[in-house]
Amino acid sequence: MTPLVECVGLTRHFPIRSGVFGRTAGVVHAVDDVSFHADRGETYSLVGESGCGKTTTGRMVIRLEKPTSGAMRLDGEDVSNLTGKALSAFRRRVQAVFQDPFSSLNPRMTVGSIVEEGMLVHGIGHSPSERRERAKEILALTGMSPDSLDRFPHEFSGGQRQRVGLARALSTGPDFIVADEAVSALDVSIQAQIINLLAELREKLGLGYLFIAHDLAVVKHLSDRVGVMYLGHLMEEAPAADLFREPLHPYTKALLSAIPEPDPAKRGKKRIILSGDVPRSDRPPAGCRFHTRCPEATDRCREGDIPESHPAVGRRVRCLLYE
Amino acid sequence: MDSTKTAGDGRSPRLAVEGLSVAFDQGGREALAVEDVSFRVERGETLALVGESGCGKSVTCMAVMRLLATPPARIVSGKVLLSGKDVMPLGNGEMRRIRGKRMAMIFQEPMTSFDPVYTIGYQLVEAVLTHEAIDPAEAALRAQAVMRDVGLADPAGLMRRYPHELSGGMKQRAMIAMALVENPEIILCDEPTTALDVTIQAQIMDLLAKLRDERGVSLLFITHNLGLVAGFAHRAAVMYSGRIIETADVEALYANPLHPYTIGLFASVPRLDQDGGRLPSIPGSVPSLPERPVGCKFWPRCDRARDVCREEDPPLEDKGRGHFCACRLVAREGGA
Repeated sequence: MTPLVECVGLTRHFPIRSGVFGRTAGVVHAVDDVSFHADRGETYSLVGESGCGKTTTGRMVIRLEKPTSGAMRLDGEDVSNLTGKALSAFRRRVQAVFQDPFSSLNPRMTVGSIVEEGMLVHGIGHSPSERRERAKEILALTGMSPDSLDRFPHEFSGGQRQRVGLARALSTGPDFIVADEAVSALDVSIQAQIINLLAELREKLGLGYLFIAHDLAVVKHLSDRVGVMYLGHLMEEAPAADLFREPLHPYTKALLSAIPEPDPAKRGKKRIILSGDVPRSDRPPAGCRFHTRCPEATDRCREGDIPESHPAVGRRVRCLLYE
Repeated sequence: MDSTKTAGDGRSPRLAVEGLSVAFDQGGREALAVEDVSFRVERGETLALVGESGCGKSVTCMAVMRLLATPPARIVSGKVLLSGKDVMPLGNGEMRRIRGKRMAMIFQEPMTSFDPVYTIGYQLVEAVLTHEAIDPAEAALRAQAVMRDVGLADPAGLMRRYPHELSGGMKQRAMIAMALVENPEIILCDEPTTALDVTIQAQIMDLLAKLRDERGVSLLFITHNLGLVAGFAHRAAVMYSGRIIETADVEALYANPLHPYTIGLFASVPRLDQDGGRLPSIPGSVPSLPERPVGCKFWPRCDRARDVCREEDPPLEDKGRGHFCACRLVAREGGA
């Protein structure tokens, strides 16, 4: 069966230009050869630390960024080179929710016009009153009252604004939503409300999500499958339950171990503390990208391409330990 | 009111804050951002001030350091006792001699807390020379020694580097070195790892714990991250809408949270040791400063609220074994 969204060998390099003639002085390897797929009603999460390429991957999935190479398919059709009407039709089906509910909503537009704008662009609804009615329904779906239509974003709290952002994404009736750190800017008690809402909408509307986040506890809560990225590479992919029960890649292990857990009884727990920093992405290390910080690295890890292994059903890992 | 008494050795705590209230000018009207906050931090102890945005934890910290811009802020009342001596009446000049020397601070944003036009070395040496009339070369040696203590490799080379040449984690280490260089009695850490990645956060927290245990420095640790509190602090004070609403030893607080807000907050944290499903959440949102309700600040979001909660703000009282809570509905241990 064709997956709803499928990325094959997605790669994005950014040239670093310098000097008056814009000479290319180097290349940032933001995303290198990333492949994954996501289905309807499923949440696929990409996790990793800053600079790992998860956001750039998300931007390629919503076609805000064109891949340097590789393909992104929706229902089996490559969308990497769509233009004009075809691109517009694609945008209607794939929407985005962003991290910062303060800067992602136009402060001069009312909540109603924010939600209606997408319908207007895509020709949904025959009259302003029909669109307004629909906006009201969608806002209700995200837990906002009808009187919010004529109010401005600044009148709402962060959590409510994120609901408006979600309503805007839903206004075109999408199949797939890319949520980039959609709950990271929210306080814990509000974050829980939005996580629940995301899960609820997925069930109700059969949506697929690409959920991009750095908070692994949130990811565990919401995801069906998880991909772990490091310095542009997908290091490991597994069903969420498996990944958290038994992480395979040394980076995933370190990442999980570094999470502070809200339980004083775990204070004595032995933690893996990685030394050093993430290397620069314009000079990624040869071999495994993680070998400079990996506690288990051997000479073989320092050169050549690290192939992907399939140690169990539904699991992929890019590490020589699992050859 | 003494809300956080611990079995002391008779000496004064490193830091004691008593009845601190801070008001902000809201277009002609004053509103209290911090209301009657009291706590103490003993030698070598870490107290965490926990809460969500707008609860007043950072304002409290800035008021203690006397770094609030006045106006719009105004310290309405309160004492800040540093090893027993109230520093609140001191003027700005005298405070400058204390800040960085006896009490230091680590800020959230390692990216913006250094001056970008001076080298790391210059800024560390300046931190020493502000407080001591010693030879700059000697100050530089001391700075390098502290940089080594915080795990920075090649301190001599780093002295000549500018802040933008360091990674986030290295900058935060340099910030910690700067806080430590005068051997302060207490360090106030305002979300010191929030801007960092989780593997770097683990490095920095590990370092702070090591320094605390080796040097006996006291820490006031301000955070919204309940995981960090559990792993790092001895005691915690939970703030909501400008007040401390619960305080206890970390073990007691996590095992048995009393205040309905604390209970709701703990329940809404997604946890690694739990499977998915609906997360409990607290309805509504934190009221903004001008919208804070009369009575208990939490009643509009509290499912147990009664009439009495809407009328009077409950006092922070000992519910048994040093577990303080500001809620009328929570019975004292052994009581009804």
